[in-house]
Amino acid sequence: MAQHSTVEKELVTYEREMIFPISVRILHWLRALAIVALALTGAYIAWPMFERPDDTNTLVQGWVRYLHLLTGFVFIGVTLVRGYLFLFTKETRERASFRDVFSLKSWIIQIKSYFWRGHLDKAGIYGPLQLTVYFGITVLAILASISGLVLYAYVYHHGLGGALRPMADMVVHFMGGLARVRYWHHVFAWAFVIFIPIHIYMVVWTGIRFKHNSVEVIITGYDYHKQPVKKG
Amino acid sequence: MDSYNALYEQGVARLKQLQQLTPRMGESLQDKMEAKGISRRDFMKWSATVTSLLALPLSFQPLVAQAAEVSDRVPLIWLHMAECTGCSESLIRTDSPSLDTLIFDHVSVEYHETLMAASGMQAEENLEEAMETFKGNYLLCVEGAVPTANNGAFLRIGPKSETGLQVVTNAARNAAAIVSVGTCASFGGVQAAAPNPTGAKGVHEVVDRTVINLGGCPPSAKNIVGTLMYFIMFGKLPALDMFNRPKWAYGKRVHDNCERRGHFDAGEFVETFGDENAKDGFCLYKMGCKGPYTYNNCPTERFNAHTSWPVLAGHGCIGCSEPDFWDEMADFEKPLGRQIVKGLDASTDTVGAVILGASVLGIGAHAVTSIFAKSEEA
Amino acid sequence: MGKRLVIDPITRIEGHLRIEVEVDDNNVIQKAWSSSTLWRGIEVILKGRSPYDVGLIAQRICGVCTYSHYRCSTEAVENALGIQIPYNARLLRSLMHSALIVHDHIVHFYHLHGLDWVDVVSALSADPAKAAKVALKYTDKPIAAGEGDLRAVQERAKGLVDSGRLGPFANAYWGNKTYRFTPEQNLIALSHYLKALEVQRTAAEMLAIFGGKSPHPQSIVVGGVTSVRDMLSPARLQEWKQKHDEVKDFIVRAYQADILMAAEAFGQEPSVLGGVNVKSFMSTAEFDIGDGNVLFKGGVIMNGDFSKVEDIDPSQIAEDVTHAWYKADGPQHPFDGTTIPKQTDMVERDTLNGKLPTLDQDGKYSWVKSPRYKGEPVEVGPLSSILVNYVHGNKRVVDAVDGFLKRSGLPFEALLTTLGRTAGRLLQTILVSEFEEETFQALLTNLKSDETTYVKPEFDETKEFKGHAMVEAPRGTLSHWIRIKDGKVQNYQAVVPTTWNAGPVDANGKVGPYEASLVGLKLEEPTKPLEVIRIIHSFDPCMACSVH
Ligand code: HEM
Ligand code: HEM
Ligand code: NFV
Ligand code: SF4
Ligand code: SF4
Ligand code: F3S
Ligand SMILES: [Mg+2]
Repeated sequence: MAQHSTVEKELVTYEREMIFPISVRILHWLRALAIVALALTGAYIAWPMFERPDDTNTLVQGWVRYLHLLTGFVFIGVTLVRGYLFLFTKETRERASFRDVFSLKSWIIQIKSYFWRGHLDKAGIYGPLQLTVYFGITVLAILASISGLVLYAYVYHHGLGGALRPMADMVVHFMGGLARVRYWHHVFAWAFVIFIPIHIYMVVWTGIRFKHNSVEVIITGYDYHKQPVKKG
Repeated sequence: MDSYNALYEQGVARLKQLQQLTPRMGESLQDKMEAKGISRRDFMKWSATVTSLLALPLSFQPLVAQAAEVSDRVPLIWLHMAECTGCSESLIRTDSPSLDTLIFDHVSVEYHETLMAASGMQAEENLEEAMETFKGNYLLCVEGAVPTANNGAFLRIGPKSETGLQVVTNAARNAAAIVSVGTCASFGGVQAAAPNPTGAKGVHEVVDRTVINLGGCPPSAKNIVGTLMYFIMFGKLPALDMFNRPKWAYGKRVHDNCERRGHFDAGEFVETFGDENAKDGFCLYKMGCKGPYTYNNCPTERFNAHTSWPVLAGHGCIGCSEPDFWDEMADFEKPLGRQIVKGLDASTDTVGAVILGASVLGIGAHAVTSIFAKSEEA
Repeated sequence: MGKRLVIDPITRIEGHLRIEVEVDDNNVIQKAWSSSTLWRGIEVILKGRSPYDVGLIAQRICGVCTYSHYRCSTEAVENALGIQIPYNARLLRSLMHSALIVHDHIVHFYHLHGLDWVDVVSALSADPAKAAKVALKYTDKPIAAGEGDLRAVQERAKGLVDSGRLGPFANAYWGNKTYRFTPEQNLIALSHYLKALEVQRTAAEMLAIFGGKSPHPQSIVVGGVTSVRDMLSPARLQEWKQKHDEVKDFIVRAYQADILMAAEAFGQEPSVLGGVNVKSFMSTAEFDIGDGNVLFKGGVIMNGDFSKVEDIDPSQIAEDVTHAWYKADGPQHPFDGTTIPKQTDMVERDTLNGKLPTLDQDGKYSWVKSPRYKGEPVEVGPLSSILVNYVHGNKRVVDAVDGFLKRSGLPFEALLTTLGRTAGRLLQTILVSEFEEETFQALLTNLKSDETTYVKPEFDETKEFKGHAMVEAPRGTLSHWIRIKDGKVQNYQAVVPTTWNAGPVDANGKVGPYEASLVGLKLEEPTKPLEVIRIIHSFDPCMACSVH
């Protein structure tokens, strides 16, 4: 919870506030890693660009696909746990951001702030645009996972793959063919790839602009707020 | 195993039923085979082939053989809609030497415009007579899509100039089972490709009954004959997949059993047609092979008496057994991500890269502006 | 006022064909109309697609002459982009093409056309022993025509007839007086009908060796051929050779023998001694294996002038749609051709079978366009190719024709008949089958020093291109015409053999080959119009092709 600590420099007082508990941070970085790995391995699957090695015993495509699936399952796991935490944890500040999503004023404030106008005031820890984007990313994650699992079900016929087959059949039928599923999976991959640089930039930029610890916050968990100058 | 036992019982019951129908041909199969110079041994070999083709345990072999013997009592009506006759051409190439004609005899061909001797009024009479005599008992095969625009006027058939739509709905009513042979009849096929000027549709979209879809442009003779055999043996439809294709033939992707799969997994790809990699038989994925998204048994059953199949001939699979493949799988020589997005003059990867580039540019602009922007916040 | 007869469907062809004729009181045909009753719109569908994909799509115009459109379409694109394919690719394409022609002609003669010549019921009363001797008249080594073979076939046919359910043979024209074979001859031909079912399969396999499958092979791409592994495999080459030998054996020992037998038996049958009434013939060069070694030369014979043959001028081709169900301002050259449907209604009329909807002869009545060369209708097909090359003095063809006329005792004029059209197809089959050996040898020789099968196309998508290709398909001269803009197909037109032959009358009242061929024909029994069907079959109709 918010702890008060006074930094004695130039008589400015900062407030150290715990924003993200360790679980959220670990999950974030696991997920970030998984997305990068999935995008790289996925890109290779879509267009196998490396020269073949000299021996046929090295299953390049096989290993890449294996990695892709491994990270894919990590990704699915993280998405599930993260979703659970968001919705059910006792900590309410994340959910509080919903209020901003339904407030036109908050939207205007946030968008203006990106164009160097005004400050960023929000009810929870995210701005409305932010929450919407993160929500969108979650939907994207679900879609990528479902399409990924459908593709998986036709590559591995036993165990989980076999168990997923009836669901996969339904999806394929709905989509009008496996090619469509694969196509959309590819499109979803692009959406992630485009999200990454924008996301990192926005995080870094808001930190600089509004002078708080937005980068560190996802690492250490703490943010610092400037307190009104207290005469010592 | 239990399900097989049940199926076996069903097959035996079906045979009894067939045997009770009065034989239309005086001769026994034995005589017929002798007349054709086919020994009992050849015949048993063939029925073993069919048994394994249908993915049935070998214990079914005697059943297959018996079914073949009585199957001359199953009348077949074959209609042509909007099509190219490639499916019929595929059927006439059916292999297992000398037995093709036998199968022709078995499945009494009551109506098939490409094969029958009668024309005009006489052909029309044959169709009407067969539909009446074998009401509820005939197998209906349809080749070709059904044009539905302008009330179906783009296809007219017969002296009364009925539309294809009328002819097919009429014949479907009293059929024992309906089989759509080929991608046209199953899913609309080439004439249903954009902009589908005739409103062509698959048969299952115009009749309100279960239709077996034999995808493929054309389907192999094995897939056609095998499906007919299944119906003859068990008197019911085989297990079907999500697009009502028989699972025994369409249960696996082309990619699953492809002979080049080892090269796919090893990351060995043909880079241009005819290059050294092509000579080595590497995987055709980068040449646009759609085997990973296509359900068919081409790699195992092949075409023309096992002679070849598209991937063996060095060309990727174009997905010809899939719904709407003419639109969905084009460009045929490019993998999915490099295909032209419909309605856009660029591929998914180009669109993605452009948006990514635009985002990065936007970021750059925003960052530079930020440096000069006068903050309103202290 | 004549009496009208409607024949729909014409069976044993590809597709949906309706023929209507008007007979006078002596049952002589005064006028005839030919109509195809299905439109699929493939030319419309091809627009806007990648030039690399059109071959595969165009191939689906027809599954019978499958490969013709695939190759022609691909070569139209190559012509537009200015691509020269490697020599090996040309040879492989030729080998596939010859396999197709041989396959198609065997199936046509035996399984589609055969029952117009062969009375299956009459074969039942034949004496197999006598028939075996008869067979020796037409070749000294008959196939499937020994006494035992023939007896077995006869018993099999008997079983079918006795059962009372004739299946595909039911309700036909058995006993018609224009069937001229003796019972023994009918039995021989029936035996070959069954044998040909096996042989055609082998011929199809020859196409599949380099094509991947048949119908609808999948091994041609813009720039060459993909089946490089099959080409480099001695086992595959041997497989091809073996099948070639089997098929050629059948052609010489059965097909040729049967045509000689027909020439003898039908030599005096009036209903097959007319039927060539459009006296202009067109055919394109085909089977060019380099160094001037070309099997068939191209050219046009105009208005029955057999003294000369002119080169085809592609700019002289135009399609008229006055009586076809399309909208257009006048005859169109295929580069600028349009395909805009404009269907009109049928007309209710009294016919020999009561009141029926019939073709509107004064308005539009068919989905087939009417191609014209210099404004004239021309006949295309194997007969045209044979005639054009005969007039050219092409030695191979002259020898084949003269040899056939000598053996059959027929005069040259006999070629200009229904019977001649059917014989012309045999001669083409023999020539193609012989020439494919030369092609195969050329391939073996070239493989010693060259394994190239493909050149990567250079395609500047910002430029505009146009191109066309002409191939000699089984049913005659086929041409595809393409315009490319912004990297996509801007316009596409196919002018197809059966379009040339089956099209309706044009704006100038000039009648096409099908409609002309029937005029003057006398019918035995108009409601059982075997004679009409036979003449129309001699063209080997393919309606999916003709309309597309
Ligand atoms: C951020 C998430 C993901 C990204 C960016 C991603 C990216 C990709 C890409 C680009 C492809 C190639 C598609 C093409 O052919 O164009 C692919 C294929 C595939 N992905 Fe993913 N993917 C993600 C998540 C998943 C998940 C969660 C799974 C399931 C566990 C999965 C399973 C697969 C499978 C099975 C394939 C096909 C592999 C093959 O056919 O050999 N993916 N992925
Ligand atoms: C400089 C590095 C980064 C910083 C400071 C940062 C910061 C943050 C913060 C503060 C959040 C909101 C908290 C949360 O929901 O977890 C967040 C969310 C998210 N980040 Fe990052 N991030 C960084 C890099 C990345 C990278 C490289 C990726 C992916 C490749 C990524 C993917 C995500 C995703 C998917 C979410 C949203 C959904 C969620 O987890 O709830 N981040 N990031
Ligand atoms: N007419 C025609 Fe074809 C041929 N031969 C075409 O090019 O058959 Ni379908
Ligand atoms: S499915 Fe293909 S082969 Fe069969 S009729 Fe249609 S286009 Fe022809
Ligand atoms: S050639 Fe096609 S089907 Fe075969 S392994 Fe490669 S991608 Fe799969
Ligand atoms: S294109 Fe068709 S034939 Fe088989 S390999 Fe592909 S499904
Ligand atoms: Mg045309």
